[in-house]
Amino acid sequence: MQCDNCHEHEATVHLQQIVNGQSSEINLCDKCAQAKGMISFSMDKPSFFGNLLSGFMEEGKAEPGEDEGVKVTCQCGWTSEDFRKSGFLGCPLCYYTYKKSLIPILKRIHSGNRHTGKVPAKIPVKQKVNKKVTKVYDPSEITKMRAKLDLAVGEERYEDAAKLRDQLKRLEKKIYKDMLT
Amino acid sequence: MFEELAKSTSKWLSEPGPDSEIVVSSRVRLARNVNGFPFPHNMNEKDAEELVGVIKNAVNKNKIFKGSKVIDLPALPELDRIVLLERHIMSYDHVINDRKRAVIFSKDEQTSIMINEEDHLRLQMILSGLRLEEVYKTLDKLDTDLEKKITYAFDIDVGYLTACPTNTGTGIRASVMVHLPGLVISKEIGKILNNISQLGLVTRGFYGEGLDIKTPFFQISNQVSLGRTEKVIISEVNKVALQLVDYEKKAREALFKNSRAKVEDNIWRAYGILKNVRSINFEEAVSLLSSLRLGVESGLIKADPKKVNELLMISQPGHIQKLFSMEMNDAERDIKRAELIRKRLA
Repeated sequence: MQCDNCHEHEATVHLQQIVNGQSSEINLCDKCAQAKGMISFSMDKPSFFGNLLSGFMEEGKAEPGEDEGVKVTCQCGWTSEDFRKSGFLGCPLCYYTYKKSLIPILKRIHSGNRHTGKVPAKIPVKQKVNKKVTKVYDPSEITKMRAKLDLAVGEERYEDAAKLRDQLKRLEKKIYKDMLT
Repeated sequence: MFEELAKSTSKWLSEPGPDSEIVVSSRVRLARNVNGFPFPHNMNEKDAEELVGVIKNAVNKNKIFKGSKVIDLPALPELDRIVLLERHIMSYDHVINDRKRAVIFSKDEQTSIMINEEDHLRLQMILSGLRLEEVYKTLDKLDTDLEKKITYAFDIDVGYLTACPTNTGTGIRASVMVHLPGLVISKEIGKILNNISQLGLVTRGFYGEGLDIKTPFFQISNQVSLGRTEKVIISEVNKVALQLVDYEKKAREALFKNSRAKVEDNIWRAYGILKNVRSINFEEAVSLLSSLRLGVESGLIKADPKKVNELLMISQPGHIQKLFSMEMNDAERDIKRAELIRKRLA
């Protein structure tokens, strides 16, 4: 078996990864494995995640987003083609530029597409890349309201939940409007 | 650089920790990006320079890194970079790519930040044994400190924005490195790793060709980073690690009960080879040291577990070359590695 890295030498080291019951393997020769540091369990093997992701992306194509088939370019110069080929985004703003095709991908990779974890004290307002002055807003109001909404749903207080949902929508709309100006 | 560093092992490997006879180490990393900059792979030289400056400024004053400095990587010799890789301070990607990038690590080597790796910042902390919650708590504090000086790229819906969507959301990867010789020898490992993967966790291991799994060191980490809180993600990995500790302990007990002679023979043979070897490659060294580790942890061989862990670290190719202060080819390295192991076990 040939080394997956240099394609020159016989592979002697085999690294196995199992994700969701799917096993994938990388085979390396002594030299390449040593260069990679054998017991150095790097958590971030780009090739693995790259492969993994392109798998997700293939599946993702079954549900084309609105920008599918149209070449879109983000202000950072990263194109929809670049994104599809590499699985990487070009800048934070790409998350908005490619939102439509990104959401189903995020859903597939993760256990949902809504962040429920840590929120920083300040959140940048959507703006151009390379604009050095960062406009920020305080997210605490939104997070508090979301927590209230979750609680209301959990306790089956649907009337309250509906009210909170409308309030939340208004607030998000306001922030979104601020972002664009 | 790093001559002194390479002589010893990192604290996270040498220090005893909870369940450290089975859980070698616990590690958490957070992926973060600075708002207003393209992601590292899509960056020009000028942006990269500026970004590294912004982060340096924020990081240098942090208490955790007292006495340490940001190291610019393009200027660091390759061998030094490999030593940092082998000490788990840096990733392979950070060693080889050629953009403007940097690294900083605390004096005790337990906390580090890779600057301009796949993301602008990769905050990382490792402790010995099973201590994921403790690791996250400290790292979270560092993250909150940095947040005061840096505006992170963050979206209220999808969380921290990362170069690759596999890290979006919390940007967290929590992992444990476990030593499971009992489960490997009793051939239960395949089934167990498969079960773990059903839980949405990733398992990775190294093994050699021909024989069964040769080096029973595995890494278990979370796959999902969005839609769950950091706390939930950590507790999931923690739960699985605790289960593995339980299974491994039972497997070792059963082995020593049912096939004592065979297991003991295997351990003593490994010890014998290591004490007399004249040339040994890294893969074989890890495999034999793994057997020796089992012998020490089960009380069969009287030795300091720290010593075995230390050998696992300094047997790596970069460390060998650093210790003998010269570049060597594979064959030369194998001879020096054997020399080093013999000396340390004498």
